[in-house]
Amino acid sequence: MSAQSSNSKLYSYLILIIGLLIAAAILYEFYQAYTVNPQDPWSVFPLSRFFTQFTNIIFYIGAVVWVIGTLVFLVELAGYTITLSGLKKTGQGVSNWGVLDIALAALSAAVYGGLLAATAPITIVPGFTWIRPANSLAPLFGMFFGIPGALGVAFGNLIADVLAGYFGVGSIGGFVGNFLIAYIPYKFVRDQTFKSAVSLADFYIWGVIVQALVSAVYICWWLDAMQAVVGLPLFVIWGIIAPSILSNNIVVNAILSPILGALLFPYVKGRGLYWKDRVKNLA
Amino acid sequence: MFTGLYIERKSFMHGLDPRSKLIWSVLVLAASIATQFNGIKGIPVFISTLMALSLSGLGTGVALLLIFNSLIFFLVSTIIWAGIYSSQGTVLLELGWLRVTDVGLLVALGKFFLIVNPIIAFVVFFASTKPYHLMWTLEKIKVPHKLALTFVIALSLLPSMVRVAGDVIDAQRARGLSLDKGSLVERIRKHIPIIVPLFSKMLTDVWDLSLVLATRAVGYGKRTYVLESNWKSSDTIFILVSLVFYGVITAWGMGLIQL
Amino acid sequence: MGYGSDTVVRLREVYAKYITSDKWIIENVSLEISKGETVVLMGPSGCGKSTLLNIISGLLPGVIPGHVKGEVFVDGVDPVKQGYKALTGKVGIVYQNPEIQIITRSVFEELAMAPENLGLSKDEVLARVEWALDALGLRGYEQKDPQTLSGGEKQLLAIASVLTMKPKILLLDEPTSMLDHLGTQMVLSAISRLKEEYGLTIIVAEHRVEWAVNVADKIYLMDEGKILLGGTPQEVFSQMDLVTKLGVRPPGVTEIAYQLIKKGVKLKIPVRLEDFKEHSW
Repeated sequence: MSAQSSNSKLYSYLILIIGLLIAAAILYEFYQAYTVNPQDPWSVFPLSRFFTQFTNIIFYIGAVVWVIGTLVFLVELAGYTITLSGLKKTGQGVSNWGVLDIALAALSAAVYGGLLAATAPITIVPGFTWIRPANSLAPLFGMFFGIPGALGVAFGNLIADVLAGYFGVGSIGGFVGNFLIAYIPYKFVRDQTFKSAVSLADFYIWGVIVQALVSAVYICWWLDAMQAVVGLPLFVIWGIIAPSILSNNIVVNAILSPILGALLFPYVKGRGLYWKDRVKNLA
Repeated sequence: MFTGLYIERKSFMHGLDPRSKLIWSVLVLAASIATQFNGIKGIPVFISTLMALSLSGLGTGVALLLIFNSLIFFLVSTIIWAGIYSSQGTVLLELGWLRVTDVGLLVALGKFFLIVNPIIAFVVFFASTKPYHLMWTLEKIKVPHKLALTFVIALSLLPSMVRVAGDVIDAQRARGLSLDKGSLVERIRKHIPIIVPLFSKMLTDVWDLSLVLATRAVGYGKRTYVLESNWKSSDTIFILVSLVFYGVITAWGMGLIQL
Repeated sequence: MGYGSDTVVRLREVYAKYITSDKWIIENVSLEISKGETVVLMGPSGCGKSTLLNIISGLLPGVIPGHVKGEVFVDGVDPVKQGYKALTGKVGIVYQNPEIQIITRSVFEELAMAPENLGLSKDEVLARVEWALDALGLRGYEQKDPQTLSGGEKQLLAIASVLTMKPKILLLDEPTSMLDHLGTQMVLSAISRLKEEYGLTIIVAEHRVEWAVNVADKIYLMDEGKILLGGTPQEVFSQMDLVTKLGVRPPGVTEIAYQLIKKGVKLKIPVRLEDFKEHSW
């Protein structure tokens, strides 16, 4: 084994450990906040305090995230992907979809939305925050099935919103936000098998931390910008919803997604459904 | 919760063109935005959505169910708005840190209707519009056919997935799985025996569904719609009445007219 | 290389496997099917019947990734080279599970879906729907929710919704395996009627041998991806040793006749009760 690959392995293990430490820290801080002030843990939870104090900065950062996220969404649906050397065709744009892509997207939506609707959330603070184990499928649908899987996650969340009575202008942000949860690990995780340390490390970076940050900021910026139409106070958006999305996506994806990914990838690959095996034009 | 989004009924709303219902939903949203700072002005909009619910044969019980599902969240949001405006207007209630003024209460009510009214309107839209017509409407507003088809198929399949998930949960519970016991990590992990069977079913269904779509010539070319919805006089009357009603409410909400 | 003008399906030395298979699923299969013939494929589970139907419909390798080599001609089209869409409107295929084949909210919508996707005119779509309702005995069911239909009725709907494309060739992959006795009778009667009244070329994978011998012009017995025996029902079931070795249960009258032959009675092997009655005692 060369020095370069053993350095890369060490680096991967380090990232994995850091990722796990961040997830553990977030869980610990929330537990501390809940112990100190069970009535209003948000006023003590460092993440929500951070969001509330820096809402202006967050708003401008959020605007940038929103513009990039929306652009990526539209470009990918058009069949292109953004690379360092410009736009490249992916063969996964909606106009390229065959019947298998339609089936994958529709079933991803049905399974994801169905699980969201059928499984009760694990309530942490009643009415405020809850953990949704079904969300652990979102990055996996993107990594396994590519753009159809990512769009399926977006549709599934939208339909679950309608069934639960949450549908409104805010759901538009949720639609693209959920697409990004599935898209980011699909795009950036190099080894999507969950079999190696590199695979796990990449997943913890992109599929746990980055997607959670991006989706929380994307969805909440939209709610903030559409405040006049959606009707949620700023404090609720950045102080409650943002930390909820962040905590839920980090915790659930850190705990469940790697287990499910390692279990399910061989079956996806074995049935010829893994996106890299199916798509002819790769970026 | 509905067993599916579309509910078969013979009702006034079911008989309307999906385009008129979509316009109506947008008018409800616009009027709710305009009246968000004064709940009194939002009440007529709320009442109109409840009327639409009963005109779609769904009943006001559904509205109560929808509101109840999100009750805690809405109440908290309402209290927060009341709190934000607690320094304006006459104090109505003071309990420790909770201070509610008349202005705060009106704004809180207005914001509450801003959330609830569009929810009820879009529930009426989806519940009274057949998936076939939903697909047709989406294509009319230039959504690509494959995306519209994906959405409609997902809508049809989701209720059966919810049922299958429920069956799996019951089966696993019978085997001793207890989802509400244990630490947070344990309770999350306990969802694995629920998620995996559903995912496995999906892997089988994907091939079946794609073969069925292929055999139905999906994606062959531009699709014909035999059962196109026809715009009728009832749609024109409905839209005219809605434009006048919500137009007046919107103008009233924005302070352009006094009633 | 040409073939008879009546030939609608011709496979010559065809090998096929799925992208995830190591070995060939279909090995060196050759067959010819003429216009209007009804062909029944029989054999143990996993012998390649479904794969063969997917090749004829162009769905392997068109939709299901895989490799197909050899000559495949279906109604003048090479679906392997030209793609499965070249067979749209020429071949219709129905699978065993009616639940997954129905995706709309009414019988009418389900029947109209395929001709609508073909972009036909409204009048043409309506005419085809009317025809399919009568052909499969679904008149009166137009506005019904498919989910309220029985298993047999759902499968009839699945067949009808493929027939609205007016295919020349109808493929059925074990259409009765998930149905109860009543449903099975409904579907098998409908297939018999389609053969008699509309002259469709029908290829069906089915294990109900009493029905097959009454309807089939040809039967092919398969095992491990190969066709081991093919011919008229009489020709196939006269080779009882091979038939039973393949695990295919012969018709009751054939079994009885075979036992009589073993005891020295001279009989031509019957496959239907009528054949048995021809012998005088």
